[in-house]
Amino acid sequence: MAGEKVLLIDDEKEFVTALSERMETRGIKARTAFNGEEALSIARKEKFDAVVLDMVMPGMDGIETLKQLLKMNPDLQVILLTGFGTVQKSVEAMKIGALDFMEKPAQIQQLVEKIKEASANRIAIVTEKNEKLITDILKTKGW
Amino acid sequence: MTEEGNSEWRGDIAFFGKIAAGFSHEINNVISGVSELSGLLTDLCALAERGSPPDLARLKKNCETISAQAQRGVTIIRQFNRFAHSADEPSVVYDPFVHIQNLVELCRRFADMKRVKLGLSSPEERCNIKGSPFQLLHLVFSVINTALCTVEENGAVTLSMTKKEGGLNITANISPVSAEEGLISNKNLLDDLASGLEGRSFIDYCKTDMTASVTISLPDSILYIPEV
Repeated sequence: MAGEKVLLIDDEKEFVTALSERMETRGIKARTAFNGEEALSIARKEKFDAVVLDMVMPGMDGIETLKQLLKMNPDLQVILLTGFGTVQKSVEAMKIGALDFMEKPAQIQQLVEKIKEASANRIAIVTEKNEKLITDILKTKGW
Repeated sequence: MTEEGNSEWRGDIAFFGKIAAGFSHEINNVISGVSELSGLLTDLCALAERGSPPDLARLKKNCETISAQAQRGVTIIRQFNRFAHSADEPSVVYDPFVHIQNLVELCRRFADMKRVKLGLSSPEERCNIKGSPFQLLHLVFSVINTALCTVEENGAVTLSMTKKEGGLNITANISPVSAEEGLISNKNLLDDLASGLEGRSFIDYCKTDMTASVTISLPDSILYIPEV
């Protein structure tokens, strides 16, 4: 499937800008945010197939941003980008509900594959929810 | 090694480890940036090979950003190398401002994470002192750390150095203060580190409604006066 939409969150502006351009050349529509607050503001207005989130950021860190994003949309598929020494935090993030994590610098092809996997997951979750909703409606309405 | 000596050694290692961890994280950010930027150049070349005309302005900007990242990396490595050499000799004559300035640069990341502005004002008068630069840096780092635990988000921690009659003061001004407990909980550590320096060094604390300061007071016996 092509045309995934991803939100990239990292305080390293040059890194995240280059990453977004590379995503675009691979047919993935990328939006960037340079901190947790900006990411939340964007995620409130737009829908994404996946979010790529840096763990260590000034102010609101990756864990807090992840919690807020999932509170806003529990089906959101979040892939974490971690630096050294943040494996413990990554495990904590996975328990909170992140889909996966990758160490920085990440291989673009692996990241793209994870984004596609995240997008497929989201579609499966949405489809399952819709099917359940239809079944519930059919049961309660007795048509 | 005595229990006291062992504890000091562990404290020194922990300090070195914190600086090294911050350094490696920063360098990893630089490498990640260079990696993506060079990857983008490769992508643009591949597009050009497939017939898409190269955007020269974009290529030039990309190369400039790679160059800036490389320079950033060199600066960080130079700062860390200078810091690492501060532990070379147990006692030397040195300019504390040079070492503290370097430490402040290495600590900027910790301050940025808390959205705190960390600064160092230039002293009116420079001087040389005798002793271990590493031990002094350990104490100054602990003061910075204490200040960062005490200051409010978006606040400022400003260090200054003043030569005075009877010695040298290194002060961290904290504004505004959010958690006074940070000052209290680190007091014993700072006092211990100060007493470990040569001469009769001590820490002075000052607190008003919104601001606080922590001053390292170094005695005049630590000052180096060259023989004429």
